[in-house]
Amino acid sequence: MPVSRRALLLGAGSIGAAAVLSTVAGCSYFGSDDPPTPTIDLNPAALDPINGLIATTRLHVLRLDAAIAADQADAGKLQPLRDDRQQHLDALTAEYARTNPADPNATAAQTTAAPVSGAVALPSTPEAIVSAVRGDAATAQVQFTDAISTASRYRAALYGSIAGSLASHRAVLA
Amino acid sequence: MTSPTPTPPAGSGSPSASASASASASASASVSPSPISTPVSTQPPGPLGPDAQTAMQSALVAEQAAVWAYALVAAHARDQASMVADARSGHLLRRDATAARLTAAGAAAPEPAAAYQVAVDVQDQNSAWQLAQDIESDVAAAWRVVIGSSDDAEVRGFALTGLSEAAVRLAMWKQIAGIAPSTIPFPGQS
Repeated sequence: MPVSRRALLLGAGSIGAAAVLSTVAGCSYFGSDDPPTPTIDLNPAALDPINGLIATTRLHVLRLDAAIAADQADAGKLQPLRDDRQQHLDALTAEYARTNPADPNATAAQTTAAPVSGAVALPSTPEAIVSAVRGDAATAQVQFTDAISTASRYRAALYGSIAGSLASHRAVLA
Repeated sequence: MTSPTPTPPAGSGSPSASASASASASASASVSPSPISTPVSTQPPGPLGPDAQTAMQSALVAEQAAVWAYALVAAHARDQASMVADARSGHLLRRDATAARLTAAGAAAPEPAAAYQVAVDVQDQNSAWQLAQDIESDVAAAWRVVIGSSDDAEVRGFALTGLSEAAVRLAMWKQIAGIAPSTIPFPGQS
């Protein structure tokens, strides 16, 4: 029996549609009716709380770089604070690498702690820039203070020392 | 690092630690918070572990030495009389609060020594400034050890206040002495 061109195209289209629908439904057209295996990790590894502190410190180094570039009059005062924050960042990334040796990013984070770059928006006047930097120090001090309560002893001592340093930053900028 | 080191106590006739601690507890409670001080936990004080007890007793000795040594600083840093008075007052309050904290935990609060040996020969203003920096460095180090010797959030918060106050004073003394940079990245860490 001859098959018309219209019937042939219609049949091919139906098979294709059925294949698409079966794929969307999650089962193979020629396979079983078992539901698809979810790809979501139901037990992800616990996030290390130090990541938030590293992120904040990295951002503040960036903002201090921008502040020093924008406010040359206060650069002499801000540069030592920037150097302190860089040392904080290095210590935090080293601590993360020490306690997360299986994380391939840990080593990279340790070696790339120094270079940070990007665009940061800062106020236009020197007074406002110094005020913004002081505000960053206050924000970070609170963050490290909060982190002390649940950290390991080694980390608590490290966080406490950094919080103390940040308190002194606020004082010299006051 | 030069530091005040305690000499043997002159005798055992000084008031008991519990008496001085209880007398000072109310005084420390009325202190208004400094704008640069860190938040202090409001949890009630509990017992101290062995490590924390030993560390806090060492911190108390450091605070006692600071109170004593600032008298030497005051003799030569006359232009900074107000700052010396504030610093000494701060260490007095912290000394008494620390003694009270130890007593509340059922631990012994060491008695202050009659005198302390300092590594700096204080003869002029510069050496007085140097001694002031040594005092604050030692106090910061003592409180940092307390933080790292306890799992108790209240103890850690208490110690962090002492560490932060010492770090701020250290930076102020460095500024006065014309030392740059005036801040350090890890106060209390040798």
